[in-house]
Amino acid sequence: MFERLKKLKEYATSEHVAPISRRYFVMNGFDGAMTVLGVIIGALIAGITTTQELRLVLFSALGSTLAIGLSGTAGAFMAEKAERVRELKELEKRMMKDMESTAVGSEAKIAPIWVSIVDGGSPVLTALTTLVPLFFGMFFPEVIKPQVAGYLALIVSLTVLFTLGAYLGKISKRSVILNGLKMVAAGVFMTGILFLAGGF
Amino acid sequence: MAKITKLVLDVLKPSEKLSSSDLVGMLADLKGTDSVDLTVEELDKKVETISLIIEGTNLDVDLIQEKIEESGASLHSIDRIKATSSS
Repeated sequence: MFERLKKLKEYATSEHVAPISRRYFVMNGFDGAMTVLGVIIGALIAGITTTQELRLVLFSALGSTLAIGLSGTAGAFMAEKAERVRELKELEKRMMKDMESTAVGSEAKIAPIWVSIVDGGSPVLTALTTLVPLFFGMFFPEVIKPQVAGYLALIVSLTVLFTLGAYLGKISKRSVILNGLKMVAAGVFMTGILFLAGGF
Repeated sequence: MAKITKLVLDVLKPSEKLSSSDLVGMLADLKGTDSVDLTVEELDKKVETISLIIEGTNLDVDLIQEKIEESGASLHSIDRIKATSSS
């Protein structure tokens, strides 16, 4: 078991897998954060005053989170698997040998599994982080009022977006703050559009 | 019993999926191996032909061949082999 985990880590951090997982992590983490942000803004526009309404919003957001996570996992696995099999077949033709039992073949098998974990896990992670204030609002309504919980979730969501952007800045060795702010700008832009639409 | 101390191998390896440094490092870590020298002889689409000069105090030819095949490369031929008497 330990040996297998070690092998998984080895392949996951290899130069052929790590860049793809990083890309998927940010791309789908962004999707998760923005989806939940959309649900929360929609709820704030409609108005959440009771715990019952907060519960409805929370479960809607959880449903979206689950759907995004599952679609990410299945989609990434199938797409990555198809690409890896195609690559391996082409390489087998060039090498004139069966590559299944080699290190290259093992990487082709493990890469889709790892990428699908990252692809499905990242939006769930960002979405659940964003929803933490709503959980508090539901379980401790006397401490955090439903509407306050919504606004707190909005702030957390923008913080999550900033963190994703900052991470991109770090891996591209560019400005962490500037990249973080670019992501926040996308969130603020969407917030603005939704609030404007809600005003009409 | 004589000990194999030098091997020159003709190997075909995937150019992107298996890095030269990984292959050289893996072979250099084998027991009885002192040094591994890799030269790229020919570059093709997705594969490259390399020449490996492996030197050591007691080279295990079968193990070296097995490790090369396991890594995803393919041993084409043993072009040169040197042994020294242990007596």
